[in-house]
Amino acid sequence: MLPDGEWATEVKGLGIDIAPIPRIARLTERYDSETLNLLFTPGEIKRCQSSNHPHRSFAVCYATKEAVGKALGTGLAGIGWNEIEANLTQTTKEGKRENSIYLPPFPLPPFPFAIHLHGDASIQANRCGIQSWLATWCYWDEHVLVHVLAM
Amino acid sequence: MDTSKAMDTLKAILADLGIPKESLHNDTLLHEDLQLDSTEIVEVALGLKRQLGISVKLEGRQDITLAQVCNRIEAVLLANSNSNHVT
Repeated sequence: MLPDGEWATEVKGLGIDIAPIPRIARLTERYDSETLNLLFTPGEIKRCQSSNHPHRSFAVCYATKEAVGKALGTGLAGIGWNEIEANLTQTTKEGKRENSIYLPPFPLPPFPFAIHLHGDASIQANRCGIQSWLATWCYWDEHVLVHVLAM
Repeated sequence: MDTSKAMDTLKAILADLGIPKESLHNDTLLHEDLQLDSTEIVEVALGLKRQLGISVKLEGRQDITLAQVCNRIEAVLLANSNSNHVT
């Protein structure tokens, strides 16, 4: 349940998804980058491949697409997977955000990240009056969980 | 590509996911009959992209049959073919 407060009335949608890391790893290892562009943006592929935990990063990106689809209220019908982009690199390896707010070197979950929408996903978000996203992810065992709030 | 070739490609992709070929028919539904989850649907789409070079949208509010998937494959191939002839 959402706490009382002004911000709670601004929530336009909520989405959550759990993705099994080994299954997403199987996908990303089976297909080349050109084929994976159907699912992930070039930026996501580049960032995930250069991540210290590429399989986990790809799983977060995948779960983000499902979670955003739920928050939009349409699922992914009429929306391309690669029109929903997750950027997990808000926090640098040194534990600093791009906006210079200091975070510990090993932050505890859930981890915040950014969502960017393109094409029909962006159009659908505008229809819903969504102006921004709050997104976090965490993992346990072989799964990732992504939670998004559309504001 | 005719319908039978599209169906053969689709069945090969589904068989690669571990689905018995004897359970694959024209009127077989992806969700209700094959119990495909969202990740498996993605695998089918990626398989079509790799083997046929096309992007076919399989998500929707309604379950679809293998024959309907083939119709979408043919529609995309036709659209691509027409656009290639436009200079």
